[in-house]
Amino acid sequence: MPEGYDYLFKLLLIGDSGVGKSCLLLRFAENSFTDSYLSTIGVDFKIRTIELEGKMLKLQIWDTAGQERFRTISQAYYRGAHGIIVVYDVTDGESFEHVKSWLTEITKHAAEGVHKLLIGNKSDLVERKVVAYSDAKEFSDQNSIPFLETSAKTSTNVEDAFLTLAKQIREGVDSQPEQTNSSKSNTVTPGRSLDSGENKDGGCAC
Amino acid sequence: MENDQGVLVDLYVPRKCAASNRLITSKDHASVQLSVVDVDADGRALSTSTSFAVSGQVRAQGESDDSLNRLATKAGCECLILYQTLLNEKGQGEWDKFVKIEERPILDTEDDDAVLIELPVARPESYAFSVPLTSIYSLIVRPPSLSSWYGSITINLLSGSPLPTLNFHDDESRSFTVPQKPTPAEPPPSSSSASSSQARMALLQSFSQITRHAAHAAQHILSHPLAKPIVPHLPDPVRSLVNVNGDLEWGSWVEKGGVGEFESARVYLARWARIVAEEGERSRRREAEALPSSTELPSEDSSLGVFELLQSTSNLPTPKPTRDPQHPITEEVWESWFNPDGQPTISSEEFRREVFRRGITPYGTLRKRIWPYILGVYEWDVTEEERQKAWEEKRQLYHKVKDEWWGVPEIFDRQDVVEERHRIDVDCRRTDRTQPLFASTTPSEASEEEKGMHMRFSTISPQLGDIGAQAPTNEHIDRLGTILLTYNFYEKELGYVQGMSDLCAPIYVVMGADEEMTFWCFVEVMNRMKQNFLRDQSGMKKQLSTLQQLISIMDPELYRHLEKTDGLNLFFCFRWILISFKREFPFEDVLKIWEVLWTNYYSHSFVLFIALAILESHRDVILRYLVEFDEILKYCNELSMTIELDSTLAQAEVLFLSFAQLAADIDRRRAEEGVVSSNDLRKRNVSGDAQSTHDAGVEADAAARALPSRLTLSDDLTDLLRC
Repeated sequence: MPEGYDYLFKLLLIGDSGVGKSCLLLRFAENSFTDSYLSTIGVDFKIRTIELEGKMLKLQIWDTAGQERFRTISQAYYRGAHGIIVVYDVTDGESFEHVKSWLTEITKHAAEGVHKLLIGNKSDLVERKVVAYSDAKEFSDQNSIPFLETSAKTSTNVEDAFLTLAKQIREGVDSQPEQTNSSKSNTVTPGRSLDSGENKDGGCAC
Repeated sequence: MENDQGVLVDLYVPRKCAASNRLITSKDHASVQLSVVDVDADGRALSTSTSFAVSGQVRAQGESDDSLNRLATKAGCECLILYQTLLNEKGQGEWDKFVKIEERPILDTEDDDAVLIELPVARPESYAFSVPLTSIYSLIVRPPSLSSWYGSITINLLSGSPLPTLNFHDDESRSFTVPQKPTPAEPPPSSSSASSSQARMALLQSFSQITRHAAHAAQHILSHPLAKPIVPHLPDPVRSLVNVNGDLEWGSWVEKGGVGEFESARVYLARWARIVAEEGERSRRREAEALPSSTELPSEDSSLGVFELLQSTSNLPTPKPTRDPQHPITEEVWESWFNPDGQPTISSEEFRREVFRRGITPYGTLRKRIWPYILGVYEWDVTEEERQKAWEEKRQLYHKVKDEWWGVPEIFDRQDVVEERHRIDVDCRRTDRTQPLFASTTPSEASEEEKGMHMRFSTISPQLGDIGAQAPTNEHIDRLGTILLTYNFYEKELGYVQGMSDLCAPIYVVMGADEEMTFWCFVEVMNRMKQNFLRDQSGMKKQLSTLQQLISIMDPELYRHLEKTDGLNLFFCFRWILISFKREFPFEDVLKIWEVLWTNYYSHSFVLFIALAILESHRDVILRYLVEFDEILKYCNELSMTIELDSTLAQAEVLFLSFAQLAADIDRRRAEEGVVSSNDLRKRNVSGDAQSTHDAGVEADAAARALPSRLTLSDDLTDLLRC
C-alpha cells in the first residue's frame, strides 16, 4: 500500500531541445533554477507530491532528451504516461513550429485519451519573445489543449501548469470510478485508466 | 498448578536466552527454542534432548548462527552448523567424508585411516591464491588458544614454497564460512546406514535455515558493495539461451506497469546503506593494512579494494588488475620511447598497454602530445618527418571540408544546415561551461574584417534572439560549434546528435583550443563511437543488448533481478555508454577513463566492462533495496560524480579477465566433452563392456552438470574479446 498519497500520476515532458524542459521540472520539483544547464541525455524523472481537493497526488514527472534521434527511447515512456506536457520556447519560433510534430508523436505512441498540456516557456524574456500569446492560444484552442506561458526562471505559472494537468487527470479518473478501486491501491497504472482496448500488448500486469 | 508428578510448579516458567542470558519475555515472539535430540553410539535417537533457547534480540542481530555454533560445541556436538552448507558447495565427496565421521563412534579418533576434510575455499581479504589440491602436502590447523587469540591454518605445499598463513579473526571468519548465497541443500547420501546422520543433518540444517535470514540481512548492510564478491555463476542454460538472441524491448516495461509505486524511501535507504558500507570498507582497509599478513605480499595493492571474483564452476585463479595509476606516463618516460628521428623504440602494442595501465600525467601538456597517438591521428611506427607530412595533409583536408560551408552563403543558409547549426548551437552553449576556456563570455580579440566574416559564418548565432534565449557564448564555444558542423560535412550520414558536444569539448580543452587537431581527434573518437549515434539507434540497442548478455553470464542473480523489475532494457546505462561516462565523472577523471578506453587494449568495448563494474559495485544495494525499474534508474542516475575511478577501472579489468577466462574455459570444456562422448561411443561400439560405458556416461554427466554443454557465447559476447 503506498504511503502518503492517494494517486500516482505519471507525466512526461517533451519538446525541442533547449526549450527548458529540465528547468521547468527542476523548478516544479525542487523550486530551484540554474542558468547553466546540461542537455538531458537518456531519461530521468523527479517526484513531487501535491494536495488537490483533499487528495494527495504523487506526480512522477519524466524528463526526456529533446533531439529527434532519441525519440525511440522517449516513445517507450509515452504509453505509460497519464499526462504529456509539450514545451516550446517563446523566444524560439522553430520550437513552436515543431509543436505540431510533437503532437503527432503523442497521437502515434501515447494511449488514447491521454491528457495534454501546452507550455510556452521563458516568458520572462519579454523583449526577445517571438511567439505571440494569441497565436499559441489560438493553436491550442483548435487542438483543445490547455495552454499556459511559464517562466522556470521566475517560476511564473509553473505551479499552475502542473496543477492544471494533474486536475485534468484526476477528473478523468473520477469519471471512471469502477476502475480506481479495482486494484490493490488507488494508484492508477497506465493501461488501466487510460487504455481503451487498443493496447495490443496486453496492458497492465498488476 | 500441579504437574503430572504432583509437584506444585509455576504456571509460567520464564526462560533465558542460552546465548545472551537475557530473559525471554512472553512478548518476545521472535525467540526460538531448538531441541536437538540426543543419539546413542549407533546414532539412534534417544528420548532425551538438549534444548537451546535464543532470544529475538540475538536473532535480530544475526548472531544466532554463531551463538548456536558456540553453544552446540560446548554441549558436545562436534559438527558446526554452518559446515554443512559448505559441504553443499563442496559436493558429494565431502558429504561422504562427513557421513564417515558422523557414523564413527567418537572413541575411534586414533584410527589411522584419518579422514581429511577439504578446506573451505578461503577468501582472504587482501590477497587471493589458488593451488591445485594435489600440490598440498599438509595442513597445520591451530585452534584459538590462550596464547593466540585467533585460530589459523597454514597450507604447506609439496614444492615447499610457503603460502600466507590464514588467520581466522573473530569478526572476519564468519564471512569466510557463511556462503555468499544460500545454496539449495543437496539430498543427503542415501546409503541405508545413513539414516541417523540424515536425521541429524536435517536438524542441523534447520538450525541454519532459521538463523540464516537474520544473519543474511545484517551481513548485507554491513558488507561493502565493492568488497562483496562478484560471484559469476554460470546461468541457467535455458535462460541464457532464451535471452541472448532476444532483441531489447524498448517499450514493454511501461505497459507492464514497470513504473510502479516509486518509494523514494527505498532509494534513500539504498543510498544510506551504500554510505555505511563504504565507511565499513574504509575501516576494513585500514585494519587490513595494519595486519602483518598483508605486508608479506608487497605486490598487493590494498588501496584498490578487494576483488573476490570466484568462478564457482571452474577453479580458475582470480585475475588480478594490472593497472598502476599511481605512476602515470611522464614527459621523461614518453621521450625515452623515441629515437632522435622521432621513430618509436617500443611497439604500438606496448605503448597502448602502458597507457592502459598507467594513464598520462595530468601535469603539463603531455596529454596534448600523446592523445593523437592513442587515437591514431598520428601513425605510430614512422619517423617524425613522415608523421608531420601526413599531418599536413590532414590539416589541409580539414580546411577543405570546412570551406564547404564556411564563407558559402548558399550552403550556410540552407534550411537543413540552419537546423543543424541550431542544434549544435543550443548544445555547445551548455557543454562544460565550468572549464576556463568555455566559462568566459568576453568577445574575441580579432580585426574588424576578420570579425565580420567570423560573425557572418559563426555556427553560434551572433544574435541571441535568433535561436531563442540561451546562455551567452565566447570564441571557444564558437570554435567548438565550427568543429562539430565541419564534422557534419565530413561524415554526412550521421548529422549532429546530442552527446557529440560532450565528446568534443574535453578534446578541445586538452588540445589547448587547437581547432584542426581537435577535429581529427574527434574524428577518431567518433570512428570508435559512431554506432552510438546512428539514426535508428541500432548501435545503442546492440551495446545494451551485449551488456545484458554479459550480465546474464557474469552475474545471473543480478540478471534475474533486472528481469523481475523490467530493467533488462538497461536504460539506466544509456547515458554511461552513449558518451563514455562523460557525465558520471569529474572532468579530470573523464580524461583518464577516455584514454584507457581509446587504447582498445583488451577490448574495443571495454566501456561495457566499466558499466558492469559499476553495476557490480552496487549490486547488493540494487538486489536488496531497488525493486522497481524507476528506482534503479533513479539510483543509477544519481551515482553520477560519486564513483571512485581507479577501483572501478581495476574492477573492470578483473571482470574482463574473468570473462576471457570463462570464455576460454567454455571452449576447453566443450572440446573435452567432445572427446569424452566420442570415447563413450567407441567403448560402446568396440568393447560392448556395459560397465565402462556406464562409467564414461557418469563422467560425461558430471561434466555436463558442471558446465552445461549447450552454453555457448553469443557472437556479441565473443566479439568483446576483440581488441
